[in-house]
Amino acid sequence: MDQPDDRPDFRIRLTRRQWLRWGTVAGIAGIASKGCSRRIEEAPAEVEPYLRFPGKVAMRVISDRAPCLETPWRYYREDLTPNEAFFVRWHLQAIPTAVDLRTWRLRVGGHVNKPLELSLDDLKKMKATSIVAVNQCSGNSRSYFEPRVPGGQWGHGAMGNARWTGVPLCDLLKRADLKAKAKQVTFDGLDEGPLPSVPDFIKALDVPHALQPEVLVAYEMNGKPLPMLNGFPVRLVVPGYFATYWVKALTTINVLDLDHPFDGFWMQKAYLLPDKANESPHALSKNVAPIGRMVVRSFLVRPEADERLPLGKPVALDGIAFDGGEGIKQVQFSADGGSSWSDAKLGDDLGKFSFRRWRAEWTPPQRGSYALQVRAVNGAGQTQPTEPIWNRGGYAQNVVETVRVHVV
Amino acid sequence: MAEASPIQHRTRRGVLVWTLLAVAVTTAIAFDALRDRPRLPPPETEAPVEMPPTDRAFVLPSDPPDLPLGPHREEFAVSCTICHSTRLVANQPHFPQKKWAEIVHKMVAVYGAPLAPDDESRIVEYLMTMRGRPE
Repeated sequence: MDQPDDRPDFRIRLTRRQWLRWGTVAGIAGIASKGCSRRIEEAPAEVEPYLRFPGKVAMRVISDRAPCLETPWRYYREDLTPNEAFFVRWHLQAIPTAVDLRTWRLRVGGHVNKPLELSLDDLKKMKATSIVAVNQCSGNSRSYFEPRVPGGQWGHGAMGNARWTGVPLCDLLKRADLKAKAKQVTFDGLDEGPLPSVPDFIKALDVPHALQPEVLVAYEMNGKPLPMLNGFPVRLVVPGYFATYWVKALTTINVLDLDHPFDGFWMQKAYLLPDKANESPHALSKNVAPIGRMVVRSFLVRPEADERLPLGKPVALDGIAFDGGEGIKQVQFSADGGSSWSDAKLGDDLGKFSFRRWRAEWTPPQRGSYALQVRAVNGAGQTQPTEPIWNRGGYAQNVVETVRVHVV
Repeated sequence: MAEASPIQHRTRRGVLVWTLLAVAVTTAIAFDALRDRPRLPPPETEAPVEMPPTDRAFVLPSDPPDLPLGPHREEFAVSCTICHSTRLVANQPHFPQKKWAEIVHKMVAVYGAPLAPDDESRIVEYLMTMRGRPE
C-alpha cells in the first residue's frame, strides 16, 4: 500500500507471486468449501421450515394455520421446557391473537346453583396451587407410524414439561355449587372454526375427574403468564392426561347433568383410541373410546441421533421419562439393540406428573454403529412395548425408542 | 519500517503468505470437520424472544410452500385453505388415491368443506400431483 516510489519493479514481481500463492489458497479453500456445500444440499428436507412466531424461538412448522409448532430437541436438556420453546398446537383458526383483560371473563355455568363470572384478577385472588406436569399432544411422534397416518406430522417435539400455577378446578366448581345431578363438565376456549359447519373445540371431563385436586385453571407457566400461543390468559391443566383436554384460552366451563351427556365432535368423533385391542390398517377396531391418560414413555436426549462419539471414552447419556401420573420408578438403557439392559440413575423428582430426568454412562467397546435404546417402568409396573401399537389416529405412541450413534 | 533489502522483504512476505496459507487450509479442514457433526436445527444464538402485548393483536408469520403445477391447483389453494394452510398438506406423507379421496371426503362430511362431489375428485387429482403415490 505504502510502497516507496523507487521500487515499481519489485511491486509488479510480488503481485505475480501473490497471484500464484493466493490462487493456491483460493483453490484449496474452494475444494474444501465445495465439500461443505455438498453436505448442506444433502441435508434432509424435513428439517424445514422453521419460523419464529410471536413470543417463540424458531420452531419447526407442522402447520402455520392453525399454528402447530414443534419444540426443538435440545430444549429437553432442561427439566422444565422454557415457555418460548414450548410446543404449540391449535385446531381451529381463528385463534386468539389478543385478549383484553378488562373485558375478559371466565364463566362457570350450567348445572350449578351459583354461576360465576370471574376476571383474571378475581382468579388470582383465589388460593393458588402449583404443579409440574407434562403436556403431550396425543399425536406426538405421529410421523413415525408405519404405515403413515394422515394428520399433523409431528416428530417427538409435541411435548413439554412446565410448572403450572392457577386455581384448582374443584375450588371453582365448589364455589359455583354443583347441583345434585351434575355428570360432566365441558371446557371451551376462544378459538373458533372459520365456517359454521366446523365443530367448536370443546372437551369434557366426568365430574369425579374434574374434582381431582391436580386439575387446574392455570394462569402461569414456569412463573410467567402463559404465552398467547399456549393459551393466554388461562388454560385447563389436566395432569396425566393427553394435551387434547388442556383447553387453551379457556372462557367457558359448563356443567352438564345426567340427562344431557356431552356429544360434542371433539369427544365423540375425534381423539378416539381403539379400546384395548390393537388395530391394523386392514382391520380397524369397532370399539373405540376417547383417549385419556398418557402411557409410559422415555427418550434419550443426549447424544442425539447420528452423533459421532469418540472410542474408549465414557459417554454421558441423559434423557427424560414420564407417564400418566403413577410416577417413574425405573429407567434402563441398552447399547446392543435390546439384548442387555442396565439401570440408569434417576434425577430430581419434580412430582409424579413431571418429566423425570435419567442419566447413565456408557463406554463404547469398539468402533461402529450402535443402537441405543431406553425404556421406563412406572409405579404401576407398566412399561413400553418393543413394537409400535399402530392406530388410525396415530395417537399414544410409546414404543421403546432407538437412537443410532457412531463410534469413531 | 527501517531499511530492508528487497530480498529480506521477499523472505518476510514469503513467511507471511505461507503462514496464511497454512491457516487457511487448517480453517477449511476444521470447518469441514465441524460441518460433519449432526445438523442442529435453528442457531443456538438466537435474538431474545419478544413477548407481544396481550391486548393488541399480533400477526402470525407464515411460509407457504411452493405448490407444484398441475390441474386444479387453484381450486385446491382456494378451497382447502379456508380451514388450514397448504403447509399442513405439504408436510403430509405420500398417500395413494384411495386414501386422499377418504381424507377429502372427511373434510366435506365432517368439517363442512364447501365442495360439490365433482370438486372432491378434482381436489384429489391435485393432491395426487402434490403428495400422491401408487397404491
